[in-house]
Amino acid sequence: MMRTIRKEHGNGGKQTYELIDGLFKPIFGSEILKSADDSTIFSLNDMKVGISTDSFVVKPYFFKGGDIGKLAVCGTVNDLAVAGLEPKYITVSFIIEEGFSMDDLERITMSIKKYADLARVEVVAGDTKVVEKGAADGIFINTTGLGVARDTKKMPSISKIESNQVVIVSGDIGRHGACIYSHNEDLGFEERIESDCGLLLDVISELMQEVDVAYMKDLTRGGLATALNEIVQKSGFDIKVEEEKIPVADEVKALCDILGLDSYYLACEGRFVAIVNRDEKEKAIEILRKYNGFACEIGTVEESREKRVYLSTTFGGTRILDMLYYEMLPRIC
Amino acid sequence: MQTLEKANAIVNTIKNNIEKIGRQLRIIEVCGTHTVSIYRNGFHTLFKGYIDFISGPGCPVCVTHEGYIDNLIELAKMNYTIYTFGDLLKVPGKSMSLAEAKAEGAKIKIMYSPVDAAENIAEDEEAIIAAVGFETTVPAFALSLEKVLEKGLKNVKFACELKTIDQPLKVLLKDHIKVDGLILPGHVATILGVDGFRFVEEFKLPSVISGFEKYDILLSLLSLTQSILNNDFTVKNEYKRVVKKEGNTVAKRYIERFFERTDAYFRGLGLIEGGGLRLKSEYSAFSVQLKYEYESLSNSACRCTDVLTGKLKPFECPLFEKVCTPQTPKGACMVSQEGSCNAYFRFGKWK
Amino acid sequence: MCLGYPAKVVEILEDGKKAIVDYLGLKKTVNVSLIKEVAVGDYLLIHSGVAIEKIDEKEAEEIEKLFGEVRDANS
Repeated sequence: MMRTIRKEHGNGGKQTYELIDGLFKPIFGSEILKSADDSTIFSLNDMKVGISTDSFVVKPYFFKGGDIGKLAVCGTVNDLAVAGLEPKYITVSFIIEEGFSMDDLERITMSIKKYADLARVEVVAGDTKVVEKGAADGIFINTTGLGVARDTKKMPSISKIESNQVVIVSGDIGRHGACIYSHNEDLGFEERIESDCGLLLDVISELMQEVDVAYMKDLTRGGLATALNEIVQKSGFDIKVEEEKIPVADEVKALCDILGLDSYYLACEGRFVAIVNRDEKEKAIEILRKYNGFACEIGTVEESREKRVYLSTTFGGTRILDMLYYEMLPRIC
Repeated sequence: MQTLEKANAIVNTIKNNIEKIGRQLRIIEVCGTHTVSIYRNGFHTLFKGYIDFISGPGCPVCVTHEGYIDNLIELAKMNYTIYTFGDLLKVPGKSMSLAEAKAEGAKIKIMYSPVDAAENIAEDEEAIIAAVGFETTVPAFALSLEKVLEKGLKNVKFACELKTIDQPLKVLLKDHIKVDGLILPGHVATILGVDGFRFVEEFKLPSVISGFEKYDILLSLLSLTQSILNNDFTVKNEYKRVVKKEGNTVAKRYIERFFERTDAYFRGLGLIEGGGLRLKSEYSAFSVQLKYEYESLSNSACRCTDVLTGKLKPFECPLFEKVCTPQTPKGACMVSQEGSCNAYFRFGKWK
Repeated sequence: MCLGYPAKVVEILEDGKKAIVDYLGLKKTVNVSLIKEVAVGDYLLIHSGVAIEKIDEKEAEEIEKLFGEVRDANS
């Protein structure tokens, strides 16, 4: 049978990794790429710099709490921020379908400008391609960001993860994914859930000044569960999280129950997990809470049995929290 | 923490009951939503050594024959738009799943409510609604057909693969499995009522109708272990806030108005007399003729049948985790999120 | 085999066959044709966009006592 690309190759879960590890990395073969995280850090004339790139294909383009332009800035800037980088420059490329509203494009561009200013990054290059009607779905945006190390001695790194460290989440999870579902006309929701789409620069900058953070990762596609699974795969440790501690807003929980979705896998666009030493957790949580009241400790790094994320349930059971395996679809059973 | 203590007390009482009974219990949860709730809440680890949970045939996706998927794909190729629940998308047919057909351009749309689907289908679209489900979902399809009749739509048809729960359960209890008790499906019981499950008593097996929250399961296990201890075979109702003695009579009338019993094929159990529902002959204009060949599963190593009948644990199947995974499901038990193989795989029951 | 969720009726729509329900603050339109005498404030069990039964509040309260406290204890 002919091998073809399916939607799940792009959902940030298991298949995405298989595509990256099985096709892209072997062909490109770059040593830097092999060790790359969401941002790639390398030395340039003795300076530690980092690059991150991301493409945005969200629909609707305008949603409660943001739009594709805001998302395109926040996504790339946040990827740099969690790597301990201070974002400096971004590039913005558009692929636009013929017939797309000029007013919408203007709105999206204004939004890019607004959030680039807030992130103190400068848009330094860009590209525009227009494709025939039907060859793309409205508008796709790619952004690439360049940042410099905030403090070369305090760079978070997967190699700094140790057992007994504490896993903290910066706010309630699943909002962006829930927001997009709540906009789907066919599902009959009367109101929209607000996305968590936002910049993480200030909170991370303050956190890194006060706390020696071992590692950070922003939660995007694939949600909390997928991010934690990436961490255990790369670090070689286990993570045990407690179900009751993971913050999920009522309306996100409601949407998940109604559509048969799992909030641990819903996308976030303005949340991250931080791994810190136990003696610094109070300080870290206190800082995070200034920005989001839901920030809290959710679990612990443990010596590995088999590089798994375990979830302990309310009444004392345990189960595995795995990566996202397939496109999450609304279901009735 | 008062309530967690209460919950712990219930857990301990259940364990005490089982110790008094003197053996590890085999309990079948008929409904796939219960399977997920049990694994998701970690009850399989909480009661390890006390209860062996066996997953029953109550997942419409798991018991759907691959021939049904092939039929839908055929119809999509004939330029019909197929409206389906998201659940069915990844079920493997003989050559491909609906998701794969969709990736190749077939018009396959995901519906959430069959009633809304009927309301929103465009007049120039030749549409087929894939009607899959047990009695809980059948009324929604009845309302959907009512909507089609009201609007006088001629472009909408139903591909019925609807199932009833009583006949397969009878077959299962009579011929296939030995269990100590049953957790009965709370949402089918919402429609059929406690009375709809009285037939279980004839098998001299304790049973309980249960809700789906973690505390519902806990209270149901408490009730069930007490019934087992007392040799009490009356159907107990631990979902009283929803399930009435006679069920939802309006919904039952809707089912009777549009549907009649037919034989139906259950993956894992075979052809079951009266195990399904089809549109009555007066509505045949709205029904799609489905063509079936009930040969054995295309992948002969797949042990779905034994898993569905509780003879094998998923991890005992030679394909499990090796070639059969949620990404590359060989059998329906791995496809559906409610399938026991899928739940074992994701939540790690075999560890 | 059948996901369902409990939701409170907040508004009955014109034809009486539909209602807007609220579940944990999220509002959704559902079909209520299968429910006799629906009133604002009723709790309904919803499955695939259709209300399949009214929820008995007294029975729900019994459970709520346990459930409510479980939630409080961990929040």
